[in-house]
Amino acid sequence: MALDVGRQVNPSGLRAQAMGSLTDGISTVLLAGNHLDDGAFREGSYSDFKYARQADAPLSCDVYLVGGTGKPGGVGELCVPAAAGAVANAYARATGDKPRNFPINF
Amino acid sequence: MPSYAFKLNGKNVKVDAPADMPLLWVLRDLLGVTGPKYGCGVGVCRACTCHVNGSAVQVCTLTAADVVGKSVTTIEGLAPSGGLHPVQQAWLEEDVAQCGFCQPGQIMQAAALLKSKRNPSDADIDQIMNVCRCGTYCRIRKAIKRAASM
Repeated sequence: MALDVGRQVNPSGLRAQAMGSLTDGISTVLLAGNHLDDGAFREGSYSDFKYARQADAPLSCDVYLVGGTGKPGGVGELCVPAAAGAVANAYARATGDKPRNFPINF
Repeated sequence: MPSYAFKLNGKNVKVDAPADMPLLWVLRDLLGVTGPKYGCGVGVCRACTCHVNGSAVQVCTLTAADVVGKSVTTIEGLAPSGGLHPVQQAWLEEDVAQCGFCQPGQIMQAAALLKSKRNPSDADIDQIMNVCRCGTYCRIRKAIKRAASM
C-alpha cells in the first residue's frame, strides 16, 4: 500500500493504520457483517461477527509512505475504501463473479 | 461468600468472591490485576488470555473455583522481575500495538505458543484466534518470529 498523507508525524503509526485498513477491507468484504432480525442484531459476539483473525490476514504487508511536506493529513481508516475495493476486485477476478452484496461469505 | 486460594503471579492469594463471578472479574475487580481485558465474556475474543499452570486460557470462562490450588499468571507476572519477557521485548521492537487493548491477551497467547514450539511456523501462528480489532496481525506475526529468534 502507498500513502501520501503530507507531513509524517508518526511513520510507524501510519504504517500500522494502513495494515489495519487492509484487514478491515478483507473483513468487511468477505466475512464481517451483521444481520438485523426484527430490530435486533443476530450477531452477539466475536463468535459470529467474523472479523479477521491471524489466519485471515496477509503474511506480510508492505507500506510505502510518500510525500512528507506541508501540513499533516488524517490517516485514520484512510485505506479502508481502497483495501475493500482491492479485495472485492480480486474476488471478482479470481471467480469471474462480480459481487454486489457484502460481505460475500455472509 | 466463599473463599478461594490460589497462586497469582507467583504469590499466594486468598479472595472472597461470589461463586458465579468469572475469574476475569475476580482478578480485575477484587484483586486489582487489570492486565487481562474484557472483550466478549464468552471466550472467543481472547483479550483476557492468561496462563493457568502454564497453559493459555480465557479467564472470562472460568471461576475462582476452577483455579483453586493452581498457578495463575497474568501479563503482570509474565516477565522475570525487573525485566521483560522476550515476547514483550519483541513487541516493543516491532511497535506492534495500535489501540493496545488486545495486546496483553495476544502476548500471553504468543508466550504460551513459544513455550510449546520454540520456532513456530506460519501455520502454527495461524492457529492463534485472538481478535485484534485494529487489524495489525502482520506485526503480531513478525513479533512472534522475532521473539522466537531471541
